[in-house]
Amino acid sequence: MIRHRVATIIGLVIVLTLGSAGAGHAFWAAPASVSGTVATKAIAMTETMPVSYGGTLSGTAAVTGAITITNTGSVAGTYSTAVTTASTSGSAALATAVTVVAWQTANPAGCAASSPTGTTASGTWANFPRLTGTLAPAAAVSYCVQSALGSTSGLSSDTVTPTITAVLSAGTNWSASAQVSATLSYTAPAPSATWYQLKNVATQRCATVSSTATGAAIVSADCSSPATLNGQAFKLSRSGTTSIVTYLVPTLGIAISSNGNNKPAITAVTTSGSGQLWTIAQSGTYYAFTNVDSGRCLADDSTSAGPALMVDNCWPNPSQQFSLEPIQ
Amino acid sequence: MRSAMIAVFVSCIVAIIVALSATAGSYALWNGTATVSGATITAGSSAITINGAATASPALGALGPGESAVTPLTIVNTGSTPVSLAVTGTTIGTDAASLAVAPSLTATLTPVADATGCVVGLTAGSTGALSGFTTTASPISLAKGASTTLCLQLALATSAPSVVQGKSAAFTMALTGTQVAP
Repeated sequence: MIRHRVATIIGLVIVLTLGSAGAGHAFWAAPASVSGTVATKAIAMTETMPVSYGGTLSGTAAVTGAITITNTGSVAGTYSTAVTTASTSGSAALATAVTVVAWQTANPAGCAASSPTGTTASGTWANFPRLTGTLAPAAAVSYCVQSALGSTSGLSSDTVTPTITAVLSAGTNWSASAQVSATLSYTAPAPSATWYQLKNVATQRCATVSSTATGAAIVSADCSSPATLNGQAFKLSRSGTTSIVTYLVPTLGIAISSNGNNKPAITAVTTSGSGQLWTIAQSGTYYAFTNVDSGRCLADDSTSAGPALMVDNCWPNPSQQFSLEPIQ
Repeated sequence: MRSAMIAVFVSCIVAIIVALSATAGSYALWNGTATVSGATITAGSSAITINGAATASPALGALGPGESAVTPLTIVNTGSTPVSLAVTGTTIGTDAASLAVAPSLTATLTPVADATGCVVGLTAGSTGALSGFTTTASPISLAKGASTTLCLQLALATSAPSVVQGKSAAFTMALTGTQVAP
């Protein structure tokens, strides 16, 4: 009986062994392979300014420069520009007043002598549209960038520095950037009249020379009307960005009495130094007089006619603002 | 005693019958009946080459985001039996660059008429991540001595991270030709 079972088990083992050999044992598999490497490219770019788009803005004359964006990487990309500005005064007035036109050029060195052509982008430095396009590896694109002043009404002397940042992108995560900057300056023209009253905005009284003697105080007095050439007549003589404010006696001008805060304004001989030099900044229809020597501002702190005008630390207050009332 | 021997004998007969029936495919290959006199019997073989070698190292152009590179693979059945072709696995190099780049790579393997048909943009065939890539389309049968051309296309994802710039990924794609009945 036991032998029967052993024989049966041996038989089943043989069956299962042969049966499990399966169909595959008679097929051959031939292996081969592809062994390789795949490299990735890289993104890089430069932005240069072959001709500066900075300069001095005067009247309607344009200042024209050029920028060049170059794909220095190995992958094609899309470029886009953005502009930020900074000004000396902190005001956006000049950036807003300057109109800008940009157009592609094959000759950036010749931009100053060319006029806008083809597709142009225009705006102001405060709101300039993006320049966009695609660049193959090693390719470059140049733009002429032309600035010009529109209306200068109420515009004060200032400088603005537009920065053009270009970004080259490939895919959603690869980018490179570069930027260029230039400074544009504007000098407000001197008032065209010869003689002015300096009328304080806060007190509505006029700066008045108390005596023709050197060192006489400049006092706050009611403005004479009709205006005549008297102790309230001043002439602005501009030299560069500064002016001398002279009195009827041509050798005498408004000066500081001391290089400190809250010191009286006096008359002094105009050749005596920077204590008589003033930068005159226009803000709307008013002007502020900042002494070159002390860096302080002419002010009428009086509450009634009579006291001397002072030279105080500058701050944006009507007591330091004057209107120029033409006399003749 | 005698019954035991009978049981063993029956079991062996059953085993042989079942075994032969289970191997019917290959059994059928040798199922002819003829008289061979003084002949030499040579075993069959399966072998394939890719671009003329067992291991091909094709050149692939560099890739930027959203870009693809292609290379034709000419497969020749150099064995003595027909084979069915399939990519059975793809491994990536273990270096840091390969591991960084590989997740952004996609492979597409497309049958083409000849090498000139291997161009960027093919979508037929099998597509999948390069790492672990295998063919999912129907295997290609290749008769003894025949050849076929496959177009291998590798694409870098548009969303490839910035850190993979200027790197390279090594890979090995295993192609297997499995014998089939003629």
